[in-house]
Amino acid sequence: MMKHIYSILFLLLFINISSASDIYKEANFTTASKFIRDACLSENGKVIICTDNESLKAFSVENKDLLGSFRGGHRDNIICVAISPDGRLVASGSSDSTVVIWDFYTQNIIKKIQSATGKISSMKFSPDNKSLLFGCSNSKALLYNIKEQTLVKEFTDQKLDVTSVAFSTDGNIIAIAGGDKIIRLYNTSNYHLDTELKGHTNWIRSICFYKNNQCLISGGDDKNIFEWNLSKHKFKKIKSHNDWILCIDITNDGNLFAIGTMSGSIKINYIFGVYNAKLNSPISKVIFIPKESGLIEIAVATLGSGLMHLNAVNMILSK
Amino acid sequence: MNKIIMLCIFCVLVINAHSQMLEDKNNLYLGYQNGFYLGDALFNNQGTSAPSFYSNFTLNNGLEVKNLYNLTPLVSAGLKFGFLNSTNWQCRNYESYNGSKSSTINLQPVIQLHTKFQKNGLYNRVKIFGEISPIIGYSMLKIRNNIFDIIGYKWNYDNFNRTDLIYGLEVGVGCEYSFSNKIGAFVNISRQECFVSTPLFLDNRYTFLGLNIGVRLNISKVKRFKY
Repeated sequence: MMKHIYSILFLLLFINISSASDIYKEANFTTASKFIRDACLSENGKVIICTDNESLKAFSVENKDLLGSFRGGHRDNIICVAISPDGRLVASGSSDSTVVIWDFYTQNIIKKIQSATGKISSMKFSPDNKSLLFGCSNSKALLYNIKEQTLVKEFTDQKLDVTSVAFSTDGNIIAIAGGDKIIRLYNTSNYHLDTELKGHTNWIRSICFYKNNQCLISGGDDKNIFEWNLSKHKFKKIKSHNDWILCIDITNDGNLFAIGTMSGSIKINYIFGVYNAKLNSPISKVIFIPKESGLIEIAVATLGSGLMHLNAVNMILSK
Repeated sequence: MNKIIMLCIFCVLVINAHSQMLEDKNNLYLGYQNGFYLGDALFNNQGTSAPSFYSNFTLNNGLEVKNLYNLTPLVSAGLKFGFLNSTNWQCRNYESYNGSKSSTINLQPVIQLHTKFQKNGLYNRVKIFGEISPIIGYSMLKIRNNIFDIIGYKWNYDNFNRTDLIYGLEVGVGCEYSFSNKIGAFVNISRQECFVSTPLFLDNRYTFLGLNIGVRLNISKVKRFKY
């Protein structure tokens, strides 16, 4: 009888010790908190910036060295972060309803925007580096002109929290999605609502443009991934999963996309199959790291297991 | 000794690995209750001994359904529905309430103070709590023996059923163990002090000491988990 009990204990211990987090332990960046709400990658793929409680940390992707810390801008946890395409500016949005624009090189605060419109849930710089778009938990999204330091537009069509915002790569379209299950597209020439994309049946968590802005991919709490053809105004469900999809990243050609789920699953859909990894924590962000060698590498931010740099070679490939 | 060490290591390792990825705000508790009424079997009724009604029930089984919403990291509030069935009335030398049955149905607003959720470590799995809840409900009595003659009360001699209002207070302490975000188990002890206004018996106050065990189910995921 005792032998059986020992066997079960040993098995449980083994399962416990060899948890997925430990397998990828050496992939971790050093942060004070393991609860990373957001991360972003510089345009050249060499610097990654992540939230770390009330501060931001910038790391070298190559050797995981800490390049700098951005402190003193927020009184509460930072929820989202973005880096400008030219790499000069970093923006952060927090639970304290403030947006801070930082100088990347000096880590000094350039501008602090008190939105007073709820917690800042997502943000993106425009491709021309001139504007910052940020979404809030009180269903509003705001467009801010960085040079003139003025609020350009307040988008108020959303009915619930804004969870994801995006600029098309040409800067002509703004996409806003959130809890009301609708993706709204606005033209940046007049900021009028162009299109409402309806199909999701639960909160949308992540949206990305690809194929030179002809398509948009989205995922959310309905566990589905939708591909939207913007020119034809059509969509198709390309994948269903078993848990909330919290984040998506896709290459511009659309051949490779990665998702992260609430249950800690990471899936990279590849032309030859799907690379899988399982962590113990929800995945808040997946970002493809551009590699000239063609190797598939991703940065993964998690709510509980820190920030990681994963190589697809170490993941399980399923057909 | 080795077995104890082995078990300790096991427990520590299991506790170290986190089971809940995020704090769940809205939880449903389903529990089974067993316990006993406190108090003497007999009480002094103006110089004569009379058998207590509640204290002599020997089989007490109940169910509870509770929904709690996490208001702050340390405080939850909600509503509890409790059902307690008491049978097998036994008192030496007395047969006053033999075969009687008492059922109580309570609706209780609950305030729970508990340990703070942590993303890792002991308090990721374990929650220690204390709770207090006013009780309002009904006591449904089924008295078998016709030994009463209460002036001004009209008996239906064929049916000794009666429903009375009960009110009181319950306090409890316990702990909860989470297997995952979705499911956990809890155990707690509680003490109910209740008043029943009924002419069927004289001891219209009871104290029930209960042991509750059950499961915690998460019925909804928190949408705003990042904020």
